[in-house]
Amino acid sequence: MQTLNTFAADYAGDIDFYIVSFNEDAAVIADYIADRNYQGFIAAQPVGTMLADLKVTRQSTMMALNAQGRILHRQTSGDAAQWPAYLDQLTENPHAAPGPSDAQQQPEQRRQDLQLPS
Amino acid sequence: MARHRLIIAWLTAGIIAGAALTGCQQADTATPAPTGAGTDAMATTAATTAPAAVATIATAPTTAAVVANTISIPDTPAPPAVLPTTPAAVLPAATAPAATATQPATAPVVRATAVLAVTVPATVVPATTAPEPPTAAATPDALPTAAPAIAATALALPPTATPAPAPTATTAPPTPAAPEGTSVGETPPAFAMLRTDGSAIASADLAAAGRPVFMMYFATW
Repeated sequence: MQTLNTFAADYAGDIDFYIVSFNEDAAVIADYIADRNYQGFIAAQPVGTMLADLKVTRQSTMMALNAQGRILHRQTSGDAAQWPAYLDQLTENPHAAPGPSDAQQQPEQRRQDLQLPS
Repeated sequence: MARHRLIIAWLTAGIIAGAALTGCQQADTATPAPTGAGTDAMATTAATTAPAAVATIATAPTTAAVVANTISIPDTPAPPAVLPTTPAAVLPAATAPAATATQPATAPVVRATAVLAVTVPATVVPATTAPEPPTAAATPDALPTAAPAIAATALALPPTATPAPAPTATTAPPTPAAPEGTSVGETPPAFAMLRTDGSAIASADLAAAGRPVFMMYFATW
C-alpha cells in the first residue's frame, strides 16, 4: 500500500481506490490508512463470499475494473509500480479493455501463484 | 424531352377533365331533378354549379346513365370550377401554383424543367438540361419572381449524386458484454463490500457509477 500511495492521489476523481480487508474489519484498515496518512483510499470489508467468488487467495491481490465492471488487469502479488500504466489507460478511456497479451499472461501468473505456499 | 413533357401535360389535362366530369355528375345528383325532365334539366343544373363542364355534361347520354354513375361515385369534393383547356395551362397548376393565365405557353414548360432539376437527382438529369433555365431568364417579364430563383438553385447544385457524408459519432462504440469470470477481460460475479460507515457497495453500483475501480485486498497482520 505504501507504493500505491505514491500515485493513488494522482487518479483521484477518475478512479476509486478500495482497500478491501482480507479477513479483518474495515475499521482496522481505516485506522491503518489514517495512521500512515495515506490519501485517496476507501476502506472496505468483503460481504459474504466475495473473496471466494473472486478467487482472491492471497493478500495484496490487486484488481482493476473498467467502467463497465470488466477486469482490465489483475495482479496476485508483486510490486504495484506497474499499475500506473493500467491506471493511465483507464483515465484516458474508462471503458478500456485488456489486450490479448494481458488476457494470456494473467492466467499463467495466477496458476503460478496458486502453486506457491501461502 | 420537350415532346415527352407535352405528352405528359396532355395526359394530365385529360385526367383532370375526367375528374371534373365526375364531380359535375355528382353535383348534378345533389340537386333533385324533376321527374321526366331528362338530360336538359341535368345540363342546366351543371351549368349553374360548374360552368366549365357544360359541354361535357351536355353530351351525357341519358339521365339513367348519370344516375348509375352517381351510385358508384364516392362523396368527394367538387373539382375546381375552371377546367384547364390546354396542357400548357395544366402544367403550372400542378407544379407551379404561381402561374397566371397571361403567361405564354412556353414559359410553364421552362419552369417545369427548373423544378425537375431541383427534385430529380443530378445523375438522372443530364448536364445538357442545365442551360435551359437561362432560356427562362431571357424572358423575365413573363415569369413569376420565384422562377429565376429556382433556376439559379438548379444551376448551383453540384453535378455529382454523391450525398454529403453524415457526421460520424465521436464517442467510441460500447464494447460487447464480457463473460462472467475472475480472469482478465471477464466480468466478475456479483459481489458486495461494506464501508466503515456501514454502507454497502454492490458491484452493480460500481458499474452504474461508470467509474473505474481499483481494489487491493489487504491485511494488517
